Amino acid sequence: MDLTLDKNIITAESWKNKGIFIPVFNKEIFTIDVGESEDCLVILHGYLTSSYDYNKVIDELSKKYRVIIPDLIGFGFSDKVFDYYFTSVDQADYILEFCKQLGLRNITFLGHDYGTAIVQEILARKNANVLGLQIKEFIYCNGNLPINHSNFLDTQDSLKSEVSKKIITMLASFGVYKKTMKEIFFDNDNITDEELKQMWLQLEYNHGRKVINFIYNYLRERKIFWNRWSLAIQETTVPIRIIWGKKDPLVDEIIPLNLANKVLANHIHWINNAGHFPMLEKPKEFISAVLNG
Amino acid sequence: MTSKNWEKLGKYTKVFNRTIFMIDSENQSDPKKETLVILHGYPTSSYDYHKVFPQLAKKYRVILHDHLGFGFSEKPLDFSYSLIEQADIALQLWKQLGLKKVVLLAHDYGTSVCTEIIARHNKQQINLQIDKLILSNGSIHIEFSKLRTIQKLLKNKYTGKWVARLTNYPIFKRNMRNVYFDKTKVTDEELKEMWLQLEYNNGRNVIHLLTNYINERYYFWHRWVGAVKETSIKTTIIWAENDPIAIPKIAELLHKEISYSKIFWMKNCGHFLMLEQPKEWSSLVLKA
Repeated sequence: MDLTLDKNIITAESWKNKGIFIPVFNKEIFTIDVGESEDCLVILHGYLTSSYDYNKVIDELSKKYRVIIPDLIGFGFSDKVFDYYFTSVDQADYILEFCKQLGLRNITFLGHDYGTAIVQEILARKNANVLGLQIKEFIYCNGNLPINHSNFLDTQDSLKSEVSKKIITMLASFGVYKKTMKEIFFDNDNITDEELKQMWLQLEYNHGRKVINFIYNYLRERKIFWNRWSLAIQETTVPIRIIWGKKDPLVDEIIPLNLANKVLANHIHWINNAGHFPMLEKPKEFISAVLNG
Repeated sequence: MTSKNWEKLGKYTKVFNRTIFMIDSENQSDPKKETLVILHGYPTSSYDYHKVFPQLAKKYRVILHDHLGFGFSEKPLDFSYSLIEQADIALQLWKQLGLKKVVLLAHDYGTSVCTEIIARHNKQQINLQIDKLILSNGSIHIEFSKLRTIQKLLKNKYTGKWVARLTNYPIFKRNMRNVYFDKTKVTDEELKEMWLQLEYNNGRNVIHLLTNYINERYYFWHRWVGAVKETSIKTTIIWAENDPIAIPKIAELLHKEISYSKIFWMKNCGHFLMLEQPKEWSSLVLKA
């Protein structure tokens, strides 16, 4: 093992020290907020992980943007909810209130994985003129699209239970978690055991493991809202950019292509040789994609 | 009143590019009157209120609309009919009408659209002052709801589409009669008028999509029951005692959960209170 590399790893504890807790509707939201720019980049992270996904890219991104990364409710260091079904609609409520409280303007939303569902809900509200928020741009990164319920047959139901099963197993121990996470990297040398350990610690924080699977309904939401969210994407006047880790075993390559067709964003910024987490696997390429889009 | 005459009372308006049928009792807003907005139930329409409309209009400016997919409103096939979207449409319609301050009344399916609106109201996301809330028989506490076989079949993703196609007027009539306490209180003619509205615009093709709301009531249970528990809006619950679907236990729970609430019971009355006992129901609404 390369010891010099280990020194560069940011621990979960030091990441926590970089952030602050912001109360929103009686929940504490852990937030990273760095950079002085007038242009805000609000990042909505993916499922199971946290703002920590961005530890390798934040310094560079904050040279151009004020970068704000909340841990979504139920994840990372934010409050975890017990006995409550926390939907993307609820997540969007908290994020919007959060932006309002911080007085953010000129917002670029970057959604990754689960975060893209919340971005779609925000878009839907923006289109319905129920947002008093100034949004400049959306960046869409390795996340799924809504499911048309006429196509939603038993195959996807089994996919749903399979995904759930996989997640339950994944949460059984650090060993299984590590193995599963590595599988969704293009090159599993791009993530170290120590980093994964830090991610695991955040997952475990505040009994987080107990609530995670409970929150995992987002497949069902993509069905309930297929029309709301597809229309949101089609009808929006906010420019959408697509940044995509090309070798993602979780989200099919057809998704960004379909999305690009819908939003007439004929440009997809592919990050080659990266899996589901391009910001962790190819941080330099990810940074230049965000900054020079 | 025939459904045709009901249609003449109202007009068509565009909300998010969809055609929505609505009725407004005033030609222009009367500053002396409070505004009452009504969210109707499933699988009927604003027509449920044709017997009580004149009575309510004496005190209120009454505004009713058919939800998307119901009555005389558009019934698009490519729509997911989420209750969240029905709330978007209602709020946008009221915004277009320039409403700032309302009394909100909901029944059945409408109570779920209503709880979504309350959730947003609690979080101060909407620019609408809700002075009062009036709730009639609706299964907000879906865990106690006694679903009819037809509802179970329609909400099932395998059977729904086919059951919807096979559903005909006699089946509709029987199911509707069953939720009345006194079956003589509704005539075949009335039921026929309701059926015509359901069929209007190929409505039978979307009915199984509309029925998905029952699943959403489970899915958003915490959000919506949470909204009811949190709200400080003064609430009046007017509940039929003999509703076989939304049973009295649901009303008792709501009464306990809503901080400022009073409850009126209607004896010998089934699910459609405004149709079965129009006088009694509207006098309670006016008292609320």
